[in-house]
Amino acid sequence: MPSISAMSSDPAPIIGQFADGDTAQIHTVTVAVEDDRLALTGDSLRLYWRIKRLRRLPDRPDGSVVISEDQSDARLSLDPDNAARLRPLLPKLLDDRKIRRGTWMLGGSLTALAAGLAGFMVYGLPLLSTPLAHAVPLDVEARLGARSNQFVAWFTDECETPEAAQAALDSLGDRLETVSQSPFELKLRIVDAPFPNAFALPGGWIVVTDDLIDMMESPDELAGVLAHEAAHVAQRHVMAAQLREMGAGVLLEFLIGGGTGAGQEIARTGATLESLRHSRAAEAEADDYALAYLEAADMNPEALADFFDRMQSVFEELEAEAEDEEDAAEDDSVRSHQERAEDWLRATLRTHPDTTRRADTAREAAAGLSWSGAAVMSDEDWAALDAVCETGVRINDTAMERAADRIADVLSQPGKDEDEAVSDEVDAQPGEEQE
Amino acid sequence: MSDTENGSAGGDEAGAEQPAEGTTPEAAQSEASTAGAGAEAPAEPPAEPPAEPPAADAETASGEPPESLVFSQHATWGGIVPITLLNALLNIITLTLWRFWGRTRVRRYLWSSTTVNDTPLEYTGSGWELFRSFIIVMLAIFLPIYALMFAGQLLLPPEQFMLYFGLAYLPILLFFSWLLGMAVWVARRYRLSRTTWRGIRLGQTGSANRFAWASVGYSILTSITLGWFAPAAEMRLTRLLWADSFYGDRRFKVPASEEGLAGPTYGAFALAWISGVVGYFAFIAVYMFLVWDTIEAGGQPDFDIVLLVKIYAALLVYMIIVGVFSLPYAAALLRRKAEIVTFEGVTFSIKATTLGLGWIYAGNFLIVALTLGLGLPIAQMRLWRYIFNRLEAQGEIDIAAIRQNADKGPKSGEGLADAFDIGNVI
Repeated sequence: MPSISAMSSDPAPIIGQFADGDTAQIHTVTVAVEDDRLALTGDSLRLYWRIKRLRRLPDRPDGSVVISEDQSDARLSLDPDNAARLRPLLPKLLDDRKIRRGTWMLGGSLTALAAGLAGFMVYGLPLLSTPLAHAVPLDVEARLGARSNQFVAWFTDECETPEAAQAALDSLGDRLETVSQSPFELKLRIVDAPFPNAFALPGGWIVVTDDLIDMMESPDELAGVLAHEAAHVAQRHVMAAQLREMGAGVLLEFLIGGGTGAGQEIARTGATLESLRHSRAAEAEADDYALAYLEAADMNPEALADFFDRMQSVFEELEAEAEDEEDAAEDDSVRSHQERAEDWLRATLRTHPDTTRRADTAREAAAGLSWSGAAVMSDEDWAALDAVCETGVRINDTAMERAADRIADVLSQPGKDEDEAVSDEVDAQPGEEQE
Repeated sequence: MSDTENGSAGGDEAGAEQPAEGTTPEAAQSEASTAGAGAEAPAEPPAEPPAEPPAADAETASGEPPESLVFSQHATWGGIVPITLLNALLNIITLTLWRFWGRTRVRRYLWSSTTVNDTPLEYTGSGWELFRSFIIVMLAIFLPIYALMFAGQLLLPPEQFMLYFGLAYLPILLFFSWLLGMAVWVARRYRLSRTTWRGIRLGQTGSANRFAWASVGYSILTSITLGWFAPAAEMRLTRLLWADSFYGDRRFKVPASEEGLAGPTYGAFALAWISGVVGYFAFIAVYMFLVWDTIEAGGQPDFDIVLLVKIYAALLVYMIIVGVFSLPYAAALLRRKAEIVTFEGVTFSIKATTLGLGWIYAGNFLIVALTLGLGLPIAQMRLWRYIFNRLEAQGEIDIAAIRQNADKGPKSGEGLADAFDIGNVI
């Protein structure tokens, strides 16, 4: 502690604690400024630090100031009282504003860097992904597609498609391939799955579930859906989405590391929302192309809108059913807290894609398109298609094999994104689907 | 957290130069104390005339009186909360890029509020070092791994992809657990080298590779023994780390043999293990009960959101129960880790109790959960404070004779650990 010297002409000495950086010893020293040097004097030592080479280390929690010479391990610490007396002698070094300025500059630069990276993810990647997707060699995409298709086969059962039905499907595919100028042969498959959905894989694979076909009332609707998927293939949307997700994945990894805190979750959620937005944009573009293909192939351009309407009515039915159940339960007026909580959860998670809007857009656009009225396939073919999967399911693998594959797949995290390639699948939830 | 105890404190200044260079020739006096370091013979009292009692200390090499070590921790909520808030804000607006600097600030506060014989520890690491090492690890290790995996997917024939993957699976798993061991070792070395007390660095030597393989081997043994090797593994790894740890030019000492290292922790471990097994079967029973309707009907369970919430709630209860019954083990481990380490004849002990540690963990769980992880520094502060306020040293030591550690430690930080998300653990 400073000894309050009585002499008024001679101010109280500035006392500090000094560790020389060489031995684990603390020396009490008096500190004085002599010309351009700081003199430290203790019982057994006297040394000088050049003021120019001094650096200030972070203050201690008790307010003590810590000083060292450039690069040195030695430390001089001064309690707040002594530091206050040294301050006028070393005004530059002990200026607190410098520290705060440093913090804000660092925070600002990092914010700018983060904004730059986020901006690149939001605007740069999507801009790049389309030309890049077109630059991906066809055989590379074909390979990726073959592998994705393999994965689909592992997780679904292939329907036994009668020859006539497959032929009808193939001819539909051929016509769409021609009008879409698809770089890939369109390979259509029907699989047995407990939900209605259709999606495109890389390399021209288009997968339709039997539930989706069951839901349709005419082959025109199937043509509409397939035209939409053909657009994804021809425009290489799937490849672009994969590139975007890969790029975003790497950038995100760079940003957040392996972390799991709230900040990390915010960044991750942002990226997910962003990718949803892009997939919506891709859907709208595919709708537009689909209409053009339908007209070029002389198929019913209204069918796409019809299909959206049907999807919408399916949603509404599901919702009405759920509400009926709720009402019924409400009448009993014995609904427990638990049941209420369950309803609340269901209602909160009941999400609607913008199906109505897409139906309206498609119908409006279709109004200006011509169609000779020619049927897209014969009634017999349609009946055969409609019955697919009801006649029999070809099991791809034994259940055991599939379980093993599934485990292996879960473990192969890095490969996972590619398998879900399909932009369509993003908001797939039981009961809803993309055409 | 193999190094949670007294040792996690770790390190010294980034690019500190040779100590000799820092002090000008005028400081030469202090050199005198080197002379007798390590020697039993009473050192001729060096030029520095100790103002303290002259007789008693004549036996020490330095000529200074020997000291016992008194640890103390003064961190407060008032000190850590502003740091936590600033970090939370900056982490969000920088999309978490601030985390390296934020972590540095938390450590700096925890270190500097920890005193040994009234002199605080100093954390000399910097955010730049952590950031730089993270970038290096991302570019040099993880980018090539991603590229390799992607290339594999492209080049291997699709029909055989799963076959190749299956073949590569074990080596890949081995590689990553080895990498994890490396990460633990490297991160600890960094933290120790960035911890100083009285201007003298801690440090860690030895081989990261050896430690990483040991941890891989112990993990395998642990799974073979259904977990029963875990306490031995934990203590053996702790021993390996402390055997290569330094303060200044002096090495920490550990028992010569691995035998009986974990002995005192096994009783508590048995309790944790049994509660884990019983709890697991209880959880399975609850799970079956929840999905029984559908199973009875011969169908697949319908995993709607309500069922999932129930299952997760059951899982949470299971984890809390196992957590509670693991507390005696956690406390025993903490006590045992302190016991096996000695430094220059001084022995250590941590008076950790099940209830005390339980209070810390329960509070920390709530703090982290309710702040969505943003309150982590507060949780770390509470644990740190608990440990250092209960850390005691028995014996006296000639501290003044200890010289600077010539090893300055790695140039950059713990990027590997950050990539595994273990860098946050103090």
